[in-house]
This record gives sequence, C-alpha cells and structure tokens, in this order.
Amino acid sequence: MESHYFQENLHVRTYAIRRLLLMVPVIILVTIAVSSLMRIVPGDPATLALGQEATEADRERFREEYHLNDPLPVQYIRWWGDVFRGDLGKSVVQRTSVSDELKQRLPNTLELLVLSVFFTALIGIPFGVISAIKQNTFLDYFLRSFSIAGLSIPNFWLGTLLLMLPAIWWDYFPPISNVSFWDDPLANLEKYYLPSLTLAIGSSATVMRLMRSSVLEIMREDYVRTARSKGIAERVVIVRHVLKNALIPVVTIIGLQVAALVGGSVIIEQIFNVPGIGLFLLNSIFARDYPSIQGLVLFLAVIFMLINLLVDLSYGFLDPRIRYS
Amino acid sequence: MSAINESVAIIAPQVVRRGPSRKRKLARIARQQPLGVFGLVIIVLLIVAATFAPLIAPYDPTSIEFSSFQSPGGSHLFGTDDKGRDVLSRVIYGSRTSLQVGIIATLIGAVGGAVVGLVSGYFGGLVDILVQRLMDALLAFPFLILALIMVAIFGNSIPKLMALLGTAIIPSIGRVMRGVVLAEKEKLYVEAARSIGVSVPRIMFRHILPNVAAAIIIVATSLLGTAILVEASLSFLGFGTPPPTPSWGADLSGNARVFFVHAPWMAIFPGIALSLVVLGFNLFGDALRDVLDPRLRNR
Repeated sequence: MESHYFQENLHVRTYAIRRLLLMVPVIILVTIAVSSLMRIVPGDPATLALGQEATEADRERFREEYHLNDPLPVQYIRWWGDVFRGDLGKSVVQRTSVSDELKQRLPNTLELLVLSVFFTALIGIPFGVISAIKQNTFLDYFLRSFSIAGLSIPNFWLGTLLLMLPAIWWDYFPPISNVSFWDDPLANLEKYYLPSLTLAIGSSATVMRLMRSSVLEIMREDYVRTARSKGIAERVVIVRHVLKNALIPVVTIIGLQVAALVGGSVIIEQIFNVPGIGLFLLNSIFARDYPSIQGLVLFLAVIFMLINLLVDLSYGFLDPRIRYS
Repeated sequence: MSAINESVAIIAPQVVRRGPSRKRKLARIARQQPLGVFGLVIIVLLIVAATFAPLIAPYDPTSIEFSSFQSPGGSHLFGTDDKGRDVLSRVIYGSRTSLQVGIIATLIGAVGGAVVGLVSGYFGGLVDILVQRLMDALLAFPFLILALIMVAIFGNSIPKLMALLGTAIIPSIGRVMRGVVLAEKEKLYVEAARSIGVSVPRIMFRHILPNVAAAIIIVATSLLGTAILVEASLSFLGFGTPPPTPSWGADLSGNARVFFVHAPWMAIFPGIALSLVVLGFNLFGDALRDVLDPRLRNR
C-alpha cells in the first residue's frame, strides 16, 4: 500500500517535471515570435516613442539606450540575459522598469482574482445545490435561466451596466482612486467588489451548472440510498454524503476558471479603472510600447501555463483514479 | 395504401422512406431541444438581419444627419447617438460586422484546425511534437489576450481581425481534431483503405475527415459565438473594428459610456443585441452537442 502510494507520487512528479520541461520550447517560441514580429511591422520604434518632433540625434540616442542598432538575435539574447537577472526590460514610454511596474500592479490584479473566485464559489455552489435538490421545480428553472443568462451576457456590457445604472438611479459612483487594502480596507473593498462581482457572474454560472449535474449524479449513487434508508435526515444526507463528493469536480472547474478570470480581468480593469496587469497590457498595446509588451507576454505565458499545469495536477489529487502517463 | 403510392414506393423506395422520416426525426429533436430551437431562431434572425440590413434598417448607419441624443421612440425606435446617427440602424448593420468577422474567422480556424489536427494525429512522431508545441504557444493565452497580443503586433482592420481571430481559433479545433483522428486512424476502414493502396492525403481527407466532421461542427459552432464575442470585446477596448463601421462592441463603448447617464440607449441596445446572439450560440451549441454527440450529454 505504502509503496504503491510512493510510486504514484513518483508518477505525478515525473509528469509535472515533463510538463515543466515542455514549457521551455513554448516560451522560447512565444518570445521569439513576439520580439521579431513586433520589429518587422512598419514604424521606427524611436519615432513611435519620441514623436515626430524629435531630432535625429534624439532618436539616435534612444536607439543606443535601447540597443536598437544591434542585430535582432543579439537583442533577443541580451533580453534573456536581463530576464534571468530579474529585469524584464524598460518601457519606452514611461521609461520605467517593466518588472517594477509589474510588481506594483500585481497585488491589484491578485485582489481582483481572489475576490472573483470568492464570489464565484459564493454564488455558484449554493445555487447549483439548490437547483439540483429542487430539480424540475420553478426554482430550478429560474436558477438555470439565471445561469444561461450569466454565461451569455458579455462581461464588459455587464460591467458597464453595473457601473452606470447605480449612477443613474442613486447617484452612486464607486471610488476612482486606488487605496491599498492595508491602508483602508473599506474604501479598498468598495472599489473592488463591483469589478470582482462582474467577473464572477460568468464563472459562477459555469460552476452552478456543474455543481447541479454533479449533485444530481451523486444523489443517484447507492451509498446515498443506503444513507437515506438508514433514516438519516435528508439535510444530513445532502451535506455529509452528497456535497462532500459533488464538490470534487467543482473545485477543479473553479481552478480552470482562474485562467478565464485573468483573461477577463483585462477588460474589467479598463472599465473600473483598476491599475492592474490587464490595464498595463492595454496601455502598452495602445502606446505600442514593445519592451513592455514583450515582458508582459513572457510573464503572462508563464503564469497561464503554470495555472494549466496546476489544474491538470489537481485532477489527480482530487480523483485518485486518474493516472498520469 | 393506394396503388399509386405503392408504385412510387417500388420505383423510389429511398426517396419515399427517407423524406418523412428525416422530417419526423428533426421534429422529434426540436421537441426534445426547445432551447436549442430558440437559439437557432436567434441565429437565423441574426443571419437575416445581416443579409438584408439595407432593406431592414430605416437609415444609413453612418449618416449624421439627425439631431443628437434623441430618446428612443417615434422615427428613431432606438434613439440617436452623440453624433446624430440612428442607433437602430447601427445595431442592424452591426450584425453584419459581427457575423462577417465571426464566420470568416471560424472558417479559417476550422480549415486550419482540421488540417493541423489531421496531419498531427495521422503522422504522429516528430511532426506531431513540433505542431503541438506551436499550438501550445497559441493556447498558452486565453482567447482575448491572444487576440490582443496579435492586434498589438499586426494592427487592426476588419480583414486583419478575421485572419487573426481565425488563427487564434486554429489550436482549439486542431486539438479536438487530433484527438478524434488518433482514435479514428486505428479503425478498420482506414486500415482497409491503406491496404488497397489509397494515398495518404486521400485517406485523410476523403476517408477520415467525413467521419470526424461532427466533432468539427460542434466545436466550430461554439467557437463562432466566441469569435463574435471576442470581436466585440476587442472593439470595446478600441482595438477591434475601426470606426465608423458599426460594431456592437465599439458602439457600446467610447462615447456611449461617456454619455451613459445622459443617453443610456446608446450602450443598452447594442449590448442587448450582442447578449442575445451569444445566448443563441450557447443554446444552439449545447443542443447540437446533445444531438450529435450523446456521449457528452450532461457535461
């Protein structure tokens, strides 16, 4: 028994290591594509960054500063050298370090994500359970319609409505400035609850759907019938026997939703003016700030691939029947 | 049964038997999938609106001849926007942009994904490894972020959006295709074809492809909805369809948000249209998956 467990653990570790190794060529591919394509498209980066009025001398100094006169492969390898020293490059617009900017903005996006996951679970799990227990009643249909609607409303439209309708009806505007949670928790949460809720509606609909079918499936199991036949109260059966098992796939889906939430956060940060990673990406694209874009692409690629790996690993952790090969 | 009917049945047994049974089959499916039918109705409405936009729309969507900020009603059912354009006409013409970009992008993605999946799945080995790393690179990002990065590099115009969104779709279809092809190529009919010397491209496209078409259709339908949504998202952010072309995402952004308190209809109507279309594709996609691939039911 113990040796089997050890072997299984070893499998997971080999699998994880192989997946991590597979990330390397992908990351090289992504960064080469971005760095070369960004430079092939028309437009001199120096002119783009400095504007039309800059003199040729200014532009030349700029090219020197950013090593733009070197051949592309040299620039690319130099960039990796910097990356390994923890330097993701320097913005050509803000003239600030991309790594510092990321470090400063990361907590804001993380808070948005944590709150979104919280709302996702808070809405999705109970609604899914209720919908399953009251299967084919009016309440079930109502909750399922809510879920379909939640999946279909584009998050940017929902966000616009959640921001604007209270402004029309009650003259209510969420705070514009960004206050740290540690300085003023209430003001901070007042800024973050609406964007998080907006992000959570779509993913909670997915979670609700899965929770419902998961509960329905488990309620048909023999051990649930046994528990009922022993005369255990229905509430106890649901909580102790059904929910505990029904939650397993749902936890994984919530993990999968994190990647989707990060994707959605770009647009939500723009609507609610949250100074996070997504807004940084948008501003960089808008200004054609290629060192920032390149740094951000690397950062995001690593993050998303790690999330996907963690989700895949959690399948096996939650369901021991799954074997990694 | 009358003699005429009998003779028809003898002359053309297939025609007589197939006609009503297929109709009945469809009717049964429709009864079992009322939501799917509702989704299909929305999609048909979208196609009608997009095809006959010049006939349906009361005004030219880019004409600025009306007074700004008229509330909905009267000669402007959905009101007018800040530039004095008719919102209803823009919503109707916006369906064109959505559908054009969505369909072309999905076609590019479906064709590209089918080829990638067939080649990768059929040949395996080094080809498979190389193709899959390329797909991993595209799949490393969520759809919207991938599209944003591509737009950042290549710029935005409607043809570029179609090509970029199409490319972004390729790995999603390619991955499904590869899995299906892996299972399919071990089947007897492929072995039979190979043993009588059928060429590899012919096996891939004439023998395997028709058998895995259902999988492509299921994935492509839901991706068409996604492509429409991502076009709208990009346009909302200002990186999609360039003005003055009507696009739901762009129309409910920008000045529609600036003037929301003053003229909410500018943002509300394009938003409703977009939500309905996404809803339609979600419902129809679910139903299609249930009908074509019962194994996936209740997932």
